[in-house]
Amino acid sequence: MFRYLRLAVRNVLRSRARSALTISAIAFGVWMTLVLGAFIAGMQNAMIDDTVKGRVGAIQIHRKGYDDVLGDQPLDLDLPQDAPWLDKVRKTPGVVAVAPRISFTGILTNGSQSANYVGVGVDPKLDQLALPLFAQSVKGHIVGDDPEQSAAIVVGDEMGVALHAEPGATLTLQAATASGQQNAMDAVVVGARSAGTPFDNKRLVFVPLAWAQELLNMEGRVSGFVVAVDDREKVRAIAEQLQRELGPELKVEPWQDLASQVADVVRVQRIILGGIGAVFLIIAIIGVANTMLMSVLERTREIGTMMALGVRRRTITLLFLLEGMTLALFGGGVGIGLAVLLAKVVGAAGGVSGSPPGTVAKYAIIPDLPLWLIAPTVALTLLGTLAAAGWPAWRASRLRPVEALRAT
Amino acid sequence: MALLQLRGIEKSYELGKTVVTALRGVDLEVEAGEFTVVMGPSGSGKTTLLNIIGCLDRPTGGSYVLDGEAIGDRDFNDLADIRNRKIGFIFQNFNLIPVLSVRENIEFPCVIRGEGGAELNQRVEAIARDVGLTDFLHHKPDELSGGQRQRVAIARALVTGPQLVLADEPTANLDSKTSDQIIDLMLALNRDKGVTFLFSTHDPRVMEHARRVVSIHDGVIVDGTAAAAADVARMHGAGTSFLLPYDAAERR
Ligand SMILES: Nc1ncnc2c1ncn2[C@@H]1O[C@H](COP(=O)(O)OP(=O)(O)OP(=O)(O)O)[C@@H](O)[C@H]1O
Ligand SMILES: [Mg+2]
Repeated sequence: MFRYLRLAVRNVLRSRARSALTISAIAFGVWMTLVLGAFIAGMQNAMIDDTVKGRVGAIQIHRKGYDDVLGDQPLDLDLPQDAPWLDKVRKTPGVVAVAPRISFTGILTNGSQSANYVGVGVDPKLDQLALPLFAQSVKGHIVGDDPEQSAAIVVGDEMGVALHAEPGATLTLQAATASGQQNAMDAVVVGARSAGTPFDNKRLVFVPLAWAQELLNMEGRVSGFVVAVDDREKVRAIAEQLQRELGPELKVEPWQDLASQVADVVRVQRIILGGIGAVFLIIAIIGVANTMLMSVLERTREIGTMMALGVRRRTITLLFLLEGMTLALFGGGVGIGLAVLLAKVVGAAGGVSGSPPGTVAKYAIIPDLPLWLIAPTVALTLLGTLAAAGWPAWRASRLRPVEALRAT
Repeated sequence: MALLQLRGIEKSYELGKTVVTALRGVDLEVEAGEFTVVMGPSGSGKTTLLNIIGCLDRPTGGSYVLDGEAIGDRDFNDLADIRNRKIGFIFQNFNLIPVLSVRENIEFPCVIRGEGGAELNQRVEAIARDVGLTDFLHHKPDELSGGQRQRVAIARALVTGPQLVLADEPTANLDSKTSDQIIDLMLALNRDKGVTFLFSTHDPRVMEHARRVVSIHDGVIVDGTAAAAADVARMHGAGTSFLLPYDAAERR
C-alpha cells in the first residue's frame, strides 16, 4: 500500500503543470469555502455571544406555560426568588451563574410625553455574572452601579431620545400590580442602552429587581431566572438535564428556543454556506475528474504493462484512486493552510466590523474555523475527489491488456 | 511433458462485418530450457501468438496448456497471477515505468505480489549484475540508452524466476550493435541459467544465434529449417551464404 501511494505521488508529480492546476483548483475551492465560512462563523460567534452573554442568556427558567403567553409578561405565572431547587441549579456542573429577573409592562412618562414600556427587573450583581456582555451595550451607568441610588434605570436609547430622558432625568413608571391595581413610582435614568434589535431600543427599561418588586407589589417573587453556562456548546445538554431535574412544573429553555430568530439565522446561513461551498467543490472536483481521465488516457500502455506483469484490476483502480486522493490532500492542505493564515491575520488585526442580518449593532467579526466547518469541507473534498477519480480509475482497470499494450 | 502445448490455436478478430483471422490452427510445443525464435513476415501473427502464450489474450479456438495448467476460461485475476508467477515479458518498446528507478522497475513484479526486504534486494542486485546494470540501479529509465532500458526489461522479466520469457521483437527499436548485445545476453542467460526464451523477430540476423526457429506464415506454423531459411533469404534479399554458422562468442 505504501509503495502504491509512493507511486501515486510520483505520478502526480510527473505532469507538474497539470497537477499544479488541479491542486490549485481544489485549494481555491477549499480556501473560498473556508474563508467564507470563517467569516460567517465569526459573525455567528458574535451574534450568539451577544444573545447568550448580553441579551437572552444561555438558559432561562420559567413556570410552565409562561412562554405560551410570552410578550404579555404575565405576573401571575411567577416563581419564588429563593427556593431549594435553585441550589440544585447553581450546583449543576457547567452552570456558572443564576440571575433572577422580573418582567412587566406599563406606561412611562416624563410629564408631557408617555410611552409603553417593557420593564425588566434585574439583580445588579447576579445579572452581571449571568450576562457579562450586557454592560457593553449601555452608555452611562447600569442598574446598581451606584448602591445609593435604589431607583436607577436604564432605558433603550431610542426611547430615551423620544422622551428626552438624558441621564439624570426622572421618569415615572406606571404598572399594574399582581393584584391588578395601578401603581406608579419615579426613577432616575442613569444609562441608555443600544442593543442589536430595534424592539429593545424602543421599549426595554431595566430597573433594580427590588424596586420592581415594590412597584408590582411582589416582594420575594420573580418571573424567572437567567442561567449562564461555561461552554456554549453544552447549552442544550445542560438545559435538558435541568429540565429533567426540575420536573414538569418548570420550563427550562436554551437560547436556541428563546431567540429562535437567531438560531434560524445561524441555521440558514450554514445551509447557504453549504450550498456555496458545494459549488466551489464541484468545480474543483470536475477538474480532478478531467485530470484523472487524461492521466488514464496518457498512461494506457503503462497500465497494459502493469497488467502484463500481473497487477490485478483492483490494484489499477486503487492506484488511480490514490492519485486522486493525493491531489485532494495537496489541494485541501494548501486551501486549509491559506484559510488558517488569513483567519489568523485578520484576527490579529482585530477582525472586521459588520452587523448580522436583522440587527443594527456592529460587532467585531473575528474569523473562526470551527470543526463544524473544517470537518465537512475536508470530508466532502476527499469523498468528492474519490468519486471524481472513480470513473477514470474504473475505466483504467477495465482496459484489456493486449489493447492497452498496443496504445502509443 | 512440454512446458508449452498449443493445439489448434485459432484467433480471429471481428472488425465490424469482416472477420480477420490472425491464427488458423497453430500447433506448437516448447520444452523447458529451449531458446526458440518465432519468425515471420509482418502481419503473419507473431504478436497474436505471443499474446496468447503470454495469457494476455484468449484464443478463439484450440487448447493451451502451460506448465501442466490448462489455460482455458480463467478470469482476469487468475491470468494475472499466472503471468506474474510463470511468465516474464520483454517488449519492443521496453515499457518501463517512467516514475520508477531501475531498481524499482526490476523489483516491480515481486512487489505486486507482496515481496520485499533484504532477500529481494539481493536478488535484484544479482540480476542487475547479470545484465550489467549494477551502476544504474538508482537511475530513472529516461536517463538510460535504449540498450540499457532493454536490459532493465530483461532483468524485470527474470526477477520472479519465470518458467518462460516472452520477447516480442525485443530488438526492433535498437541499433544492430546493441541488438547483438541484447541477443547475446539472452543467449547467455539461456545457456547459463537455463531460462526458456520464446521470442519473435523479423530480423534475419537472429537466425545466426537461434537454436530453434519456428516460422509462421499467414497464421499457420511452417516448420522446418527449409521454410525458415527461405524466410531469411527472402527477407535478407541475399543468398544462403547467410546461413553459415556463426559463433556469437567470437565477437566478444
Ligand atoms: N486487435 C486487432 N484487431 C483486428 N485485427 C488484428 C488485431 N490485432 C492483430 N490483428 C490482425 O491480425 C493479423 C496478425 O497480426 P500480428 O500483430 O499478430 O502480426 P505480427 O506478425 O506481429 O506482425 P508485425 O511483425 O508487424 O508485428 C494481422 O492481419 C493484423 O491486422
Ligand atoms: Mg507484432
